[in-house]
Amino acid sequence: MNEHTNIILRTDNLCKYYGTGDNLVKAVDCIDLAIKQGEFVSIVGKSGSGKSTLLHMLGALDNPTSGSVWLDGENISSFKENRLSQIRRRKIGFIFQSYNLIPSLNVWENIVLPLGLDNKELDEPFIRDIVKTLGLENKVKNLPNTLSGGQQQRCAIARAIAAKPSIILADEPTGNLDTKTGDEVMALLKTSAKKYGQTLVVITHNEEIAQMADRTVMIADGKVVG
Amino acid sequence: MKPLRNQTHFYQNIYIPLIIIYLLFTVSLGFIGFEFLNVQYTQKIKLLGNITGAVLSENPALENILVDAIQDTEGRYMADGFAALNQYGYREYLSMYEDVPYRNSLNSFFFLMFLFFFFSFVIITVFFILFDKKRKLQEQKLLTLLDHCLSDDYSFLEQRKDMGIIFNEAFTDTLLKLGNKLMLKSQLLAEEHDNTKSLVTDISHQLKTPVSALKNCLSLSMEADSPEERDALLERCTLQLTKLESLMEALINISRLETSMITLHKEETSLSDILLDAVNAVYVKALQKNISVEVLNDSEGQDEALLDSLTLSLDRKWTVEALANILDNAIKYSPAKSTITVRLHKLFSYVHIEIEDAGIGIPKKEYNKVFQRFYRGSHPMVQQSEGSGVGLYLSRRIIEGEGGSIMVKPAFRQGSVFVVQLPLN
Repeated sequence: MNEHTNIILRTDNLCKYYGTGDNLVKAVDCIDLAIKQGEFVSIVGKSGSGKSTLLHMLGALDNPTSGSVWLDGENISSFKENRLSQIRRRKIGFIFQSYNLIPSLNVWENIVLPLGLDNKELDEPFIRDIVKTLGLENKVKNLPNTLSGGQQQRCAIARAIAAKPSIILADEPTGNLDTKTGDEVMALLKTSAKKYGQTLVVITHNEEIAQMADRTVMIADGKVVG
Repeated sequence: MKPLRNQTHFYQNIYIPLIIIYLLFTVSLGFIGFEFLNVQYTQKIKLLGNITGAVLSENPALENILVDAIQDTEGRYMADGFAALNQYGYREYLSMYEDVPYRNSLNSFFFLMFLFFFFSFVIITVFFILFDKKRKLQEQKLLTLLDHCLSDDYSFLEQRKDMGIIFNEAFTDTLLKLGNKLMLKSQLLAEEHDNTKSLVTDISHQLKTPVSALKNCLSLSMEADSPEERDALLERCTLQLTKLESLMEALINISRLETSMITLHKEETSLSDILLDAVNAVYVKALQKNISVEVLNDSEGQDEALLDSLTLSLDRKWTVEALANILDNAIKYSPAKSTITVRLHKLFSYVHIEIEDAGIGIPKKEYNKVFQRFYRGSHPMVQQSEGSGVGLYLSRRIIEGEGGSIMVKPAFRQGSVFVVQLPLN
């Protein structure tokens, strides 16, 4: 059993540059990362440090200028768009700062939507369990705009976990929440990721939140600094 | 239910081509049948023309009766005609097969029918042989894979490409996930084993220093020159012993938690009882430094009343221990006459407990480390004071074991705020 077999997400010399010549911006500059299965990693950096660009490339939402991203032993940076959208649906759960729920669908429909897109059979007991863990039992019929920010983010967490992805990527999940609700959402995110055995990568500028992680990666000017 | 992509795969690669081939065969068969009939029809027309021409060239007066015979559907002249033709071997019910030109056409038609059957047979057989072969290969591969799993060999996880050839993608994904999960489990077991080993090493290391200090102290006291000196040394021995005792206690707690010898027994407990017990546990120490501990209910509206009577499903004894450890630290590193504030706030899934002190604070770099086993802060005050670096570690183990969380933040002015979140029912 060697060390690298349980690496679920790896980047090799990952770079993302914008502009040319004098206007060249190195948003992500040669980052090597390795995230183990079941690990909770926080990526911390100030705004503009390139952490969101990094997350977008980890989540196959953006193409790198050079370098590669390996998810589950596959080099996803070489894939075509329709295979990428499959990978995003099946292997990656996303949680965004602004929740990104569909306003015309109720909580339950929002949670099962990605499964429907993938024509997957609904594991209803599993989803009921997630909904219960996240304290949304009484809200499944509600539309997102009737929920508080914390509740909307919990719904987004449920949606991310429901597809049983290999990895959950969260971009400033508590950015729009007050401190206490943020603490609560982070604790729920951590507890549920542990409970369902999921790998969790959280991007944040908040070092207090980062301490919940098993490991913290500091990013500055597109580079890993510690 | 199969995922959509697999169905399209099946339709695109097998079903649609088969249907097209079948359609082509049927259409060509129909076309050949049509051609066959057409040839026969033309021959009959030509024959009729020939007979009419022959009769009319001999006797043009017979034109009327010929037209009449051609248009006649009842066959009035048929009996007479066959009576004459019989002499030349033509009978009314002559089988098609005895007619040579017909026979040739029929033969080629039957041959084509046979060809059609033969090709269908070959195609279907080949398809099934290939299909069966693939199925057997899949079965074989699956069995080998499961065997590997049984013998803890997870090298197949890196051979995704090979698997992709044999299994479809969704199947490969699920198999790899299964393999990963199993591997993780066995690694976890191995890690636990390692953890126990390192715990033993850590504990023996922690015990070495105070024991050797005690030993030195004792041997010095035996060689003491005066009774006063001996008394002083013995007093130091007692001090070392007390230290050792408290260290032992902490270590016993840790090893019990680590080796799961104690499990957290969740029972309905009132939050205020837990807080009261925790504060009582550090009461004497607080009194010595003249530090007051304030518990504030920070909730608003109906939550305020709810919080006082709130019951949680927790292990009372260990939760008290966890909170007391945090309070103990707060008292240890706070100046005399300061205040420690405990603020309660009921959230949706957790009770949010903030324990704020006015102490030395914790540098950001050490936020993660303070909860690690045997970690002691870098601050001189921490280095000088007594402690084994197990308190916060134990607190974290207990609180996370109960489904809660713990973290540290800087206080507004000075000191630290420990945030403990305990799950509501």
